[in-house]
Amino acid sequence: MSERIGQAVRHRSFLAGGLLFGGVLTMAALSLVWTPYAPTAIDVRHRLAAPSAAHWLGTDPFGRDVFSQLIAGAQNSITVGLLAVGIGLAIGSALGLLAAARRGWIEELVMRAADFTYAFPAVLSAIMFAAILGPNAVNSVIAIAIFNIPVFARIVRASANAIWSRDYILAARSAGKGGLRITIEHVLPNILAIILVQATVQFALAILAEAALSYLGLGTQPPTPSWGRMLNDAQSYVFRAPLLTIFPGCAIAIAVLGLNLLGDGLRDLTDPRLTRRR
Amino acid sequence: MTPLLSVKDLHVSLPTAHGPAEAVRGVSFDLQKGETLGIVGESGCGKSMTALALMGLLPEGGRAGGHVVFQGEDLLAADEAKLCDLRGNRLAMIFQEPMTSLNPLHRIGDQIAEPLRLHRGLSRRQAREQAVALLDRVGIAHPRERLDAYPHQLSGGQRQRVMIAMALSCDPELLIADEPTTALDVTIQGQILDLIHDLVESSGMALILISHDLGVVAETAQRVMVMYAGRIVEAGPVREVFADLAHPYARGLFAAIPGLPRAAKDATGYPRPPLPTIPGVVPELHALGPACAFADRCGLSEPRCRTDMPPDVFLSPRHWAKCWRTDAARSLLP
Repeated sequence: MSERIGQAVRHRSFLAGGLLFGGVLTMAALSLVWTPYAPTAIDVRHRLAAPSAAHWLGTDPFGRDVFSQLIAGAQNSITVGLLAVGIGLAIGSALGLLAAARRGWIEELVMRAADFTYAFPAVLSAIMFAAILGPNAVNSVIAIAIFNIPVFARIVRASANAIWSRDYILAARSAGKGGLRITIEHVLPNILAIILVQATVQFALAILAEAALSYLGLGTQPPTPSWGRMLNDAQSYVFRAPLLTIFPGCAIAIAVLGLNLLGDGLRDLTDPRLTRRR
Repeated sequence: MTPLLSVKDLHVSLPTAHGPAEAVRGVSFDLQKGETLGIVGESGCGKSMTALALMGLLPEGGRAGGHVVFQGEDLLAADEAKLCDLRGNRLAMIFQEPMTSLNPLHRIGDQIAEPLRLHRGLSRRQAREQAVALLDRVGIAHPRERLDAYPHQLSGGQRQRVMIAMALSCDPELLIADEPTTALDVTIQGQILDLIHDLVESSGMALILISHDLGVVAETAQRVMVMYAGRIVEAGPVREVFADLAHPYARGLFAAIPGLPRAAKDATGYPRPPLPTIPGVVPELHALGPACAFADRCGLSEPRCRTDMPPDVFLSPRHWAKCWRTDAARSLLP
C-alpha cells in the first residue's frame, strides 16, 4: 500500500493534477464555511474595483467580491459535475454490464441507443431540456448526465466483453455461477480501474459543460454563483475590466486541467504494465 | 444398471465465417458411476466441444443437438437456472490453463469456498474450514496460510491443484478434466495426474479425461474413445484398444508418440527413422463430406472410403472402430 502511495507521488502528472484539483476542492470546501464577503452581497460604491487588499481579485459590475464568487462557484461546478457524472456512470455502467452479460439483441439495443444519444451534442440536449423544464441547475445535471450515459455504456461494455472471454469466467460458470453473480464478482472488479479513469476525465468535461450551460443562461441561475455565469456577466466589460473574464476562465482551466492530469496519472497507475516500468 | 451419464447422438455446431461448422457430429457413449473415460484426439477434433456441451457452456452461438442424460435429466433441454444448480455441484470441470482460470483479484480461499456457499449454503466460516480441508486434500502445503494467497503468488502446478480443489468442493458425481496437464511441466504433470487418479478412486466419482496424450489416458482411464473430425473413430476398454488398434488414425496417433530414450542410431548402427507423423492436416469442419473424414490422410484408403460412411466394426464385444479397413490396419506393424 505504501508502495502504491510512493508510486503515485512520483508520478508527475498524477501529482500535478492532484495538487491543482486538490486546490479547487479545498477552495470549494472553504467556501462552505467562510468567504471574505457574502458572494451575493452587492456594494455599488466599489463596483469594478481593481484587485486590492480589501478585494483580493477585485469586484464585478455590481460590486460583488470576485474571490468570494469564485470559490463559491467552485462548489457549484463540483456539485453539478459530481452528480451528473455519478448518474451517468451508474446508469451507463449498468447498461454496459447488461449488454456484455446478455449479448444478442439486448446488447444491440443498448449500443444503438448509446450511438443515438451520443450523436446529440450535450449543449443541444441541454437547450432542449431547458426549453421543456425551464433553466436551472437540476436540469443541467440531467442534461450532462444523459450525455455521460452512452460514454460509460460503451467503455464498460467493451471492457466487460473482454473480461467475459477470460478463462476464469468459464471456470466461474462451470462452478455454477449465474450471469448476475459473475458480473458483480468477476467482471466489475476487473474493470473498476477503467471506469474510475473514465469518470475523472468525464468529470472535467462535465465542469466544462456546466460552465458552458451557465454561460448561455441555461444552467445555474442567479444569484447562485457559478463560473459560467461570471463569464457571461463580465462579457460586456471585457475591455474595461478584462480581469473579470480572466479569473473565472482560469478557474475553469485549472479544474479541467487538474482533472485531466489526474485521469492520466490514474490510467498509468492502474495499469500494472506501466507501473512496473516506472 | 442405468448409467450416470448417457450421451446419444450429440451434435455441436459452431458459427464460423463460412457458416455453421459441425464440431461434434454424432457422439454417443455411456458412463457408469465411478468410471474413467479418456477422450483422445488432436486439436480441433471436437473433444473439448463435447465436454463444454455436456456442461452447457458452449461458446456464444454454439448449438448442441441430441441427448445428454445425466441421472435421468436431459441436460440439453434443461434451462440455465437448472444448469447453474448442477454445475460445480454435481458436475464439475477442470480446465487446461491454470494460469488464467483463476480470477487474479480474488484470494484463492474465497474462490474455493464460493461453490460451497453457492450450492451448499455454508456460512463464510464453514466454507473457509472446508476450503482448508480441500487444499490439504489436493496436496497444498500449509493450507491455512495459503488460503489468503492471490493466484499470482502460486506456481502453475499449485494453481491447477487449486482448480481441482474448486471442482471437488461439492463432491461432484462427474468430473470433466479438459487437458488438465497440458500447460504444466512434465514433472508436475505426473503429480497432478496421480492426484486426480487418487481423488477419483477415493471419492467414487466418474471422470471424463480429455487429452491429446495417449500415455496419460492409458495410465488413468478404463475406457478410451478416439475422436477425429467430430466423430468417435475407435472406442473400447483401454487395454483392448491399445493392444489392438484398429483404426488407421488411432494407429497414426500411437506411432507419433515420441519414444524415450531415443538415440540417433538404433542398435545396429543405422540412423533411426524420424518420428512418424500423419500426413496432411485436420480437414475444415464445414467442408466435410458424408464419408470417412480421415480418408484423404489415410494410407489404407480405398475408393469406398471416400463415398460411404464406414460402419462400426466390432473387434470384441466392447471394442469397435469406424473403418472399412480394420483388417488391413490391424495387420500393419505397430
